[in-house]
Amino acid sequence: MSDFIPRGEDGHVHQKLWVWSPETIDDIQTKAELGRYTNRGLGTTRRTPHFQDLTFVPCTLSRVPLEGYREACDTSVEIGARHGAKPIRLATPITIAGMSYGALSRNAKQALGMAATRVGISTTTGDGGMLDLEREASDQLVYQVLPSRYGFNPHHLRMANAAEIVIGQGAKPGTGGVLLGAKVSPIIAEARTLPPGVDQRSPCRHPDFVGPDDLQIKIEELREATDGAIPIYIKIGACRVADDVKLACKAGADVIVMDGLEGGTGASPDSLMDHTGIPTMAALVEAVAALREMQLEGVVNLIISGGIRNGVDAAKALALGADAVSIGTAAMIALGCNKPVYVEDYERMGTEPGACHHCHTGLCPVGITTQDEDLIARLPVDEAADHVTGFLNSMTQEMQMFARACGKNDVHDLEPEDMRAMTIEASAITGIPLVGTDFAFRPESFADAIMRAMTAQTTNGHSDQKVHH
Amino acid sequence: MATLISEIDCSQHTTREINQAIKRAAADGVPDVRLTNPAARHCLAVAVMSPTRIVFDGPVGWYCGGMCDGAEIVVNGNCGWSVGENLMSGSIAVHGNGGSSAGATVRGGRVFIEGDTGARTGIAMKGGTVVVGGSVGYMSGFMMQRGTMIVCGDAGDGIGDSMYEGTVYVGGTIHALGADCVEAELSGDDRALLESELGANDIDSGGYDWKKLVSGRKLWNFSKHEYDAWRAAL
Repeated sequence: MSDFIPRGEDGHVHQKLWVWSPETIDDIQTKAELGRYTNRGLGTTRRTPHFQDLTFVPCTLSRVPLEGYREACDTSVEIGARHGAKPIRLATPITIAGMSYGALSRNAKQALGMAATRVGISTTTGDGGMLDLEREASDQLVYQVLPSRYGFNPHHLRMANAAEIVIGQGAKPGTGGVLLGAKVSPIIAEARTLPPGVDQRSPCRHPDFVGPDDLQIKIEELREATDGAIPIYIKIGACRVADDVKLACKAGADVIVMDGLEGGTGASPDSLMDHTGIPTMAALVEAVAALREMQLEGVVNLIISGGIRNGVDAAKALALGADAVSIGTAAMIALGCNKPVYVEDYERMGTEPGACHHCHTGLCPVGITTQDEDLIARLPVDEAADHVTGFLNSMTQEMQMFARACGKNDVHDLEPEDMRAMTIEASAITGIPLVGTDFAFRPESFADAIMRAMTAQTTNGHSDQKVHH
Repeated sequence: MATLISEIDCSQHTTREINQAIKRAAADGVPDVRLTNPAARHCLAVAVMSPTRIVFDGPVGWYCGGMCDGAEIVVNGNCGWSVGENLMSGSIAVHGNGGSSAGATVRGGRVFIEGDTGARTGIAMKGGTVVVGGSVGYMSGFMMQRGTMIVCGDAGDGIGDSMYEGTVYVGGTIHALGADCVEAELSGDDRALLESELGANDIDSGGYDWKKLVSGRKLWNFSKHEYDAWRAAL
């Protein structure tokens, strides 16, 4: 018996059990105390198949790269022109995702709008209507049409540059939102027509339509309300991706926003974030295939969201066929979320900078996910907007860097052939060959590989025979 | 140069042409716009933001009068789902039956349906008034936030489920109350309101057995001691 392993007096080894791990034990005892499931913000704790599992294979002898400082690499894209509306023009293929005024502070919403305008992209409202400061700050603002319709105002709709019907959210598809009472301040309550301090639960179904055929009529209503002037987006939490994409196309969407499992939230049950949905990379592959099958690739634009962390993830998403990416959590972090300041306030919540996901409490130490005036004042709008601008610019630079390295003068020319899969599952999901092989881990690729091997064997066999003769 | 149109034959125009003609007429101050042959077409008179009287002679489809602010709409016929959806102000009167989600998310103004309506009537109302001369389907008044709904006939299962605030009056039989919806005592003010609201549509409020429904407020904030209430709501 080794002395290095802790043992009990009877000699049995002290070890943590997998099923009844310390985390599981804590989860059970927390729920026993609360009498309900647990909520938190940000996103999943799971490690998912991710863009991280792909690597670019830039130009070498077989391809010619572009010079970084001399040769242009376009990043702009227009989206939403399918039915003749004035499209959204993105100077770089990024959008700021819908995050509600209520989940976020007014300073955060304003700063996001300012940054988006400086960079030439769009931002999005959220569950709670349009904030005047956000409209003023945002050159291009997408107005969400959510099941709750909190704060929904047709005058605001007509002031918007696009409308986004939210069918679901990647972090918690099939369920409504939550805004706990601590964040339902008198101002937020009035904006949402709610009693102050209630634990607000948003419905998951729209009040005025149910299925895809109804959605087609809802889209017609929005077009009539806006004289057909603005694009109509449909945002879907990734689940049955191919079916949903096809139904959204048929219903008349100009743009589909596919939000994967890694998507963010201001407050959701932990169990939903960890046990629902399809990872973003997989959802993107399925969505592109569905558009291709419908012969609507490039006609119905595709925005992918959910766990996009930087320009590298964005470049890989474009290479897989997205027209643009949408960022929410990354934009919040650029604002200052989880920054190591006011550390004592993180500690008071039982967390620390770098690991805080307490958005649901309304006690955000850096003034982003709070409605407390003292905390909001900790987020200087101009400085926060500068930070988001800087981050968005870095994303653009990264996308261009990879595109140039792959010999492309437009980031949208990146393609699957520019990448290799680092894991078998990423290869199986994307159809991109695994590093060190020339085939993807997909049935059709296996079949091709077997056919090639058999052909080669036959050819070699004939050749051998000839040698013998 | 705006065209003054007081009568539109819907059969001769696209929905967009009809709606733009209505909006032009309203903006130009035309007091009455009469529309013939609507033929249950969807999305008519949507988002009309100026006060004018719009009369449909015949049935209309979904979303008639949706998102309007200030117009007075009359439908001489039945209507499809979601009539008056998100009405801001003004009024809609349907002299026929309505579909489901009638008066959904109304924020102001008044929606009147002379006959019956389907499920989720007055769902998520945020203000205003919805009056139904007949009966309403299941889950009507679901997640109501403010405003008043008056149902002269019967209410299907789950009336007023998870309502935050607002008041529902039912004159007929209630099949089942929704989660956290409770009956409150009817006051003299309530009877006066019913008389006034129904009188506006020539309905005598005296012939009904009125029940007043409000939020029990047990779902406003989670309590593990109210588990039975929350089991139905979460």
